[in-house]
Amino acid sequence: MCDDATSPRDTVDITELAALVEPCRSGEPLAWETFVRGFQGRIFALSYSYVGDREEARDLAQEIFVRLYETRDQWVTGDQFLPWLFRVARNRSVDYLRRRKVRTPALTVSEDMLADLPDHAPTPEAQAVASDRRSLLHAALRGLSAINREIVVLRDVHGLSVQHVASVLGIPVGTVKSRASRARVELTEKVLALSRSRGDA
Amino acid sequence: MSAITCDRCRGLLIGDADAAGARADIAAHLGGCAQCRAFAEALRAGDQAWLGEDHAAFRDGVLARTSEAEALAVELRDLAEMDPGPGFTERVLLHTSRRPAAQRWHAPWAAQRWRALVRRPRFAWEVAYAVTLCLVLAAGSPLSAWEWGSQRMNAIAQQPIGKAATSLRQDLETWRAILVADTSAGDATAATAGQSSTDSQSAFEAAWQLASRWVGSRLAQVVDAFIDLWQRAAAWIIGSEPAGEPAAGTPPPATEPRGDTARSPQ
Repeated sequence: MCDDATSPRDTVDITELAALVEPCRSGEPLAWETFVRGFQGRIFALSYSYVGDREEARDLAQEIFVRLYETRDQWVTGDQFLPWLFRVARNRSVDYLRRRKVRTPALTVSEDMLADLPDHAPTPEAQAVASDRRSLLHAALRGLSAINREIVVLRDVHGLSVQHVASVLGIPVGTVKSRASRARVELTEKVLALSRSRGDA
Repeated sequence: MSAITCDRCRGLLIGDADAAGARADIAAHLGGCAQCRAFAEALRAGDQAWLGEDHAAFRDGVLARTSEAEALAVELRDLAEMDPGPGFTERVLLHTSRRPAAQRWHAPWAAQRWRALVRRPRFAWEVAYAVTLCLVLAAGSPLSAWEWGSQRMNAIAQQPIGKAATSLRQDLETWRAILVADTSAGDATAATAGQSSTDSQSAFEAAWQLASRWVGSRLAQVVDAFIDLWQRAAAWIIGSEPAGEPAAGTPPPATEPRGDTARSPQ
């Protein structure tokens, strides 16, 4: 599995990046590039949690950035920026999934064609352990219901507050709290079950 | 009568039986309530069964869940960022800030106003109202067309099909004759225009005549095709052979199709 084997090369402080909002809004190319480099890991991870496929997540993340760039004059500032960013990304992901539902199945790709494709994955030796555990976590997350997965991803993965998660998803704060605790228990059960099944295999 | 209710007694049995005075209350209540006595027996049996079992698996399960949950809380944070792979940033920048700017035919403020206008929630409704209003002002009430259409359909439906066929064919022939006459006139005008274009008429007028002639001839062809189609359809409906391709400008047939009498109730 190479789809989720990689980790971010460098972690950027979100609060520092928030300072880029104003220059980005005024259309400074350098600020925009810094913003993309700083947020691409998060946006890509969020996209991946929705589509579950690395290539599709790349396309979706690119779509999200293009959308952000086109509407840069409407960016919100301050504490609300991060929830707003996640809301935009989430809406775009939901649209993408809707489009994918009605899309015709892709053509079958032959093994020869696959062999010619470039491999961007890191070496298996370097990423084996992390990849196993990460793929297991992703598989467990995909086993959750859509709303529970979104809550866990926003709350526990991206660290948004309960209020922000509620505003991103458009549901009451109480619902987020109750669902979050249940979703964690459910996720733990799924991780344990998957660990057992993989261990047995 | 006991001092406590059944609900209170069962609550004490499950949770807080050691509270001060609780044992006496429970004993007093159980002495007079058979249902709560049965409840207390069932509870005691359950406790004994629990104590008799080996709970190592349960304990391990709880510990595993607890440690797994703690590990998850840390590991989930690691999923917050993933490397999208090489070339992703370049790809995004090529589609955004490094994309060649499109030629703008309008001022930026106009684009901004337009975007604001389009994003208004009732924009589609307002456009629909405006377009409908324009259509009504330009072409009259759409209901009048409907009224005319329904009257025409009624008239056709009430007369025998042969008469309707003849009537429509007469209409079509008339239209065709008008079109052919217009085309001939256009030809003559165009020829005249060609001769005297250097004198009095502009090149624009000559081109206009040519274009109208071309359109007229195409319309005549369409009408011809429609007449042919109508004849075939009428022949099929009435049950007779098609009358064949009519010559251009020929008058409509004086007699009704044979099928009219065949379909007529007489």
